[in-house]
Amino acid sequence: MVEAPGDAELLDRAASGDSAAFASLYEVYHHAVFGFAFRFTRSASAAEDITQDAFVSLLLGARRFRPECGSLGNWLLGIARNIALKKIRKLRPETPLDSDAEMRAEMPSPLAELLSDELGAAVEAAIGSLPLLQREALILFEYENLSLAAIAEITKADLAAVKSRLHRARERLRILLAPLKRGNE
Amino acid sequence: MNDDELKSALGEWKAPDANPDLAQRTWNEFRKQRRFVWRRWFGFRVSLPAPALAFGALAIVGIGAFLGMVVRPPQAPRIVVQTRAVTQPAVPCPVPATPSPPAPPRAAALTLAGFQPVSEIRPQIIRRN
Repeated sequence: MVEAPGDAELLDRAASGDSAAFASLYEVYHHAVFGFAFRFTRSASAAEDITQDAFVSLLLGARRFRPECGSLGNWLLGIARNIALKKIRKLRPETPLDSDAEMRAEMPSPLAELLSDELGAAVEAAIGSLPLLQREALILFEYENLSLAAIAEITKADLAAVKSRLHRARERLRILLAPLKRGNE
Repeated sequence: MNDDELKSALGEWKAPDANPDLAQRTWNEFRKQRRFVWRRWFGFRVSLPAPALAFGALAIVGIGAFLGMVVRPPQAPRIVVQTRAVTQPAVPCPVPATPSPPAPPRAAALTLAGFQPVSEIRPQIIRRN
């Protein structure tokens, strides 16, 4: 995520009621926030709610943002991540946070996804079957192109924990998506 | 499946664009919530377990009682009466130069000869805070 200069100033102005400043911030960051929320929840309407709530929280809590502690984009993604986690845990309390053992019971059949002949849908289902902490690490790394350090900052986790989650997520996806490769050959 | 193949497969899942009016809805929601931020302070709720609440109340009462014993409120100024003994030498009465008219005879001779002056008592009122 590219950090636009003057984000802190734009945030201050937007929080004071400057709609043009808000529009600038929204234009820069809404794709990342919405994309992350959509892939995390697999629901466009939930992603819109999360995006809206994240921006509103950002503006209402603008005074808490410290540019020296991290970028505005990471701060905003952290807010969106917390809202999304809360939403998912509220809607589906049984969703595992970070347990492969619990995940196996929910694992979708890759064959069934292949039969639908929708590669995107198969990938979506595979990612959606990951435990939440692995899922967020994978989405932030693969789709938002964030560094491991940035992911650790957003998720308030150790770098080693992020690496481990990402590794397990990728290993699981390799297994789940392997039939896609064979199908394409 | 190697890293490149995995990356390629992941790229097949595209996120849709957000609704175009989401920005306006977000801005409107922010303005609405900002207007009523002060209400959140009055509507703020805290959930506490009953034992914790009872313990907290007892602690407050205990601390209040302790402070009431240790810290006394300022008192009104007291009036202290002190007595001081003052000794003054007796000054003999001056003898008149002219002979006084003869005094009427007395039943018993009463003179000040040998009179020893006594200490005077002077009450003083001192205010103290």
